[in-house]
Amino acid sequence: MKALVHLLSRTKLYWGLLLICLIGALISPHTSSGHNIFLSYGNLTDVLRQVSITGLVATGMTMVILLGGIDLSVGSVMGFSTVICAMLLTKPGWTSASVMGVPAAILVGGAAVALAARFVFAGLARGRYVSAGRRREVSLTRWQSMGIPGLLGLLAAIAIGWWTMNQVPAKFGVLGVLLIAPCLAMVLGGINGLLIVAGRLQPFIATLAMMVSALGIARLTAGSDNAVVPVYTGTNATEAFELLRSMLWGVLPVPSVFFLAAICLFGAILRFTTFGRYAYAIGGNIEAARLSGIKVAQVQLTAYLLSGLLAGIAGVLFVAQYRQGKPDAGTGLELDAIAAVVIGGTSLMGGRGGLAGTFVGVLIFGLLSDILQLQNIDSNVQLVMKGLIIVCTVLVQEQNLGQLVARWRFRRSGEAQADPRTAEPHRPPSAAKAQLAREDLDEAS
Amino acid sequence: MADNIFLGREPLIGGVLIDRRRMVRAAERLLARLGVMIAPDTRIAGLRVGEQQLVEIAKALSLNARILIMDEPTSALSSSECDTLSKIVRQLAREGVAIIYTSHRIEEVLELADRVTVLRDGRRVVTARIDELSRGAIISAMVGREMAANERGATARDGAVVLSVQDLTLDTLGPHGWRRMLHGVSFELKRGEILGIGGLLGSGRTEILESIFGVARGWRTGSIAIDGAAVDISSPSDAYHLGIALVSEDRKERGLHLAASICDNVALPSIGALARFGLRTFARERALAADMIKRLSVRCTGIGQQAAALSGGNQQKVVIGKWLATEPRILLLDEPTRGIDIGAKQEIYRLIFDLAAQGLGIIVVTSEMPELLLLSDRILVMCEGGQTGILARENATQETVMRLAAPGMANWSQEAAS
Repeated sequence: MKALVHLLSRTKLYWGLLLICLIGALISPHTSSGHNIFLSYGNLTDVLRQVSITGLVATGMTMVILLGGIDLSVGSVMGFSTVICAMLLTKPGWTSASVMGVPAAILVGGAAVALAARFVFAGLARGRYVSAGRRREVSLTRWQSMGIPGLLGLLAAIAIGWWTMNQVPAKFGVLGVLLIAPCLAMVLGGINGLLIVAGRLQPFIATLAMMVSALGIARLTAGSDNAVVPVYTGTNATEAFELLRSMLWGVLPVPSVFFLAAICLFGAILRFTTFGRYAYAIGGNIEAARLSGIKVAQVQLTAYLLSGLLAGIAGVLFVAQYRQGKPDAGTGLELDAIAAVVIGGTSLMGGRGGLAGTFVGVLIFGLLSDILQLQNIDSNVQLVMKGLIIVCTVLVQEQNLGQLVARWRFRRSGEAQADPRTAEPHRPPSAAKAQLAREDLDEAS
Repeated sequence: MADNIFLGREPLIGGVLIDRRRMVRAAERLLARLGVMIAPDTRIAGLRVGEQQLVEIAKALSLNARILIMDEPTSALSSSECDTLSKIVRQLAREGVAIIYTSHRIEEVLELADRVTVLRDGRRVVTARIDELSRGAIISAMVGREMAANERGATARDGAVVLSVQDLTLDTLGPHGWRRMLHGVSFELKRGEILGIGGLLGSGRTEILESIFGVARGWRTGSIAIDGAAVDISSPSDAYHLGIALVSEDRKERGLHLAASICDNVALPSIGALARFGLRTFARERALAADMIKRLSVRCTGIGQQAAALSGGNQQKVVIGKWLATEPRILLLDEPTRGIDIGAKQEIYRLIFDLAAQGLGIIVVTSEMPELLLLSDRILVMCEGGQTGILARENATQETVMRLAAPGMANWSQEAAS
């Protein structure tokens, strides 16, 4: 019995998902031929497609929240990314998008390659020492830690520069935008991280500032306040961009492939790498983590960089999905993402939760709006329902179900025996306290 | 401070506005009664743990309660503050307040209590009037067995200096401008030596350890050398790579990730070195943790148990274990036995002796005089941020240490507070 309650309590999130699926299947309308629309393959993949953008953003958000931070800027950063992506696709030459994007890609690409090279050297060196039975970390030679990685980074930067510059006079292709837009978003994420790590700003404040200014930057980039940059694949943009909204081998929508890949990749990173463990440790107790010799600043910066990166990718997918880029594309997205993360059981205090929960949280939202749409319910009712879902799931999440059951049983048994301790009347403490405090004060004055 | 003391019961003007003047004056009175000379508008965050504890006690006093429950009220206090507190406790008892006083310090219990209840493992072992129980009877009731007296085991000191600190100075930016927390601190630590640091609360004991470990806030000057080579330690990560470990004063706030398992806690500083290409090696981590809990005899259900579920003594062992796992050469212990029961204390003492015998250089900061005298080979005494002397074990007694720690005995409480 106890084990069962424990099991139920641990897996309650999945039961919630199952419940929503059941409700959806039961009340779903049927086609004329008697097929259940909700359970049809097309409908379910559509849900996946629709949650992908929020899902990608929520993936980055999960890591930031695990660290005890928050990233309010993801919506604006995604909007910025859609503008960049749409402009790169449709406007040839040195537009504001390519002027910002090409240097950003060179910078981020070069830095990424250099860091990757250094990481490999560090891994090789440490491996040797562990096998020799020593545990103290080894320091790399200057050539290994700076020289070769720096050289490789420079080469990568030159290659990226050459490749992107060549595309500027014409329009950018799929790979071009998939490189440049996320790189620019990563720069914004990096600014967030630096403000928090080096400037010692509260994450809430720093990312709030970025949220406001990224929207401004996006509007300035697009050239007017409520600019919409339409993308018509085949006419004003490359036909190949259609790929990003198609079905992969007719099985899965491409956006959801990105989403699932991100969940799996970052889930594995959180579970199996030292970075993941450090993230949990910092979220759990930042002082203890710092005193344990963890480079807290590095981990925090990485998380905000990744959050920006994922928001940037989400922006490209948005352009593919809705065939336009606009500065306010991501308005409110950050809150949807935070809600999904919280429903997934990740604590806003940090240190507890994970990406499996976020995946379920995102799906719960997606399925809910799908069910309501199938019922033709007003979209404003959907908003109210969303709010209710957030409150209910978090209530269930926070209260340990096993504890709830135990408390309920204890109370019942207590009532049956008419426990004298609880039956005893006691005077209301507040009045008495107030009286005493007043006396104390009068004495003082 | 005043805000904290009267939180939720603020004196009001016309039922809405807070009467700050009356509140501050009342707070002043309460604090004076406790012998604390801190201005009531000081921020709590700027106080040391012990001073915060006194504020908490003032808050309890302000309630004018008929029953007062005090849970380890002195665990963070220096001895002069403890004296003040026990005076107040006795006075309150005379005024007719019933007091439940929980403590790990047997001397306090013997001194204050009328009746004693001993609990062990959540069960009541004995309740009796104080005059019916001897000190030994209480201890054996607590531990469940007779304790052997402590003996400092034979030490193997090869004389090599592992850490030397020259002219350490620390300035910290506080609410009232820069304050000099440390000045002119110089000492050497040899392999296999236990150096105790004594002094009153706020005399800069913790700051020495924090400066060596690279976590002290503020501007630090002076030189630190390890194995004779000057080093620059600006973060715990630097200290870790040099083989320094710090077990901090506040294990819950700064030592443990309470929601995580014992295994995760023990392995945390080591996983970077155990990992390859950033991938964790779970088998090695578990082996490390299992080895540590065996070596330190941590009482737990297994390495998967949550750190929050452990008793104070076992949590402390986990914190020590997590540092021993990094194979340090210098171990800094800040109040290693604060708030843990007497059985676990003995085990930690024995552990410290063992580690010293294995050649670690150990620095211990403690407020408990018997502990300081028991553990240390030499005692460095601090007073108001300055080093007032280093005593060899042979010359160290309660009196000699105290004379160095508080040269002007008359205005003790002021020094403790400042």
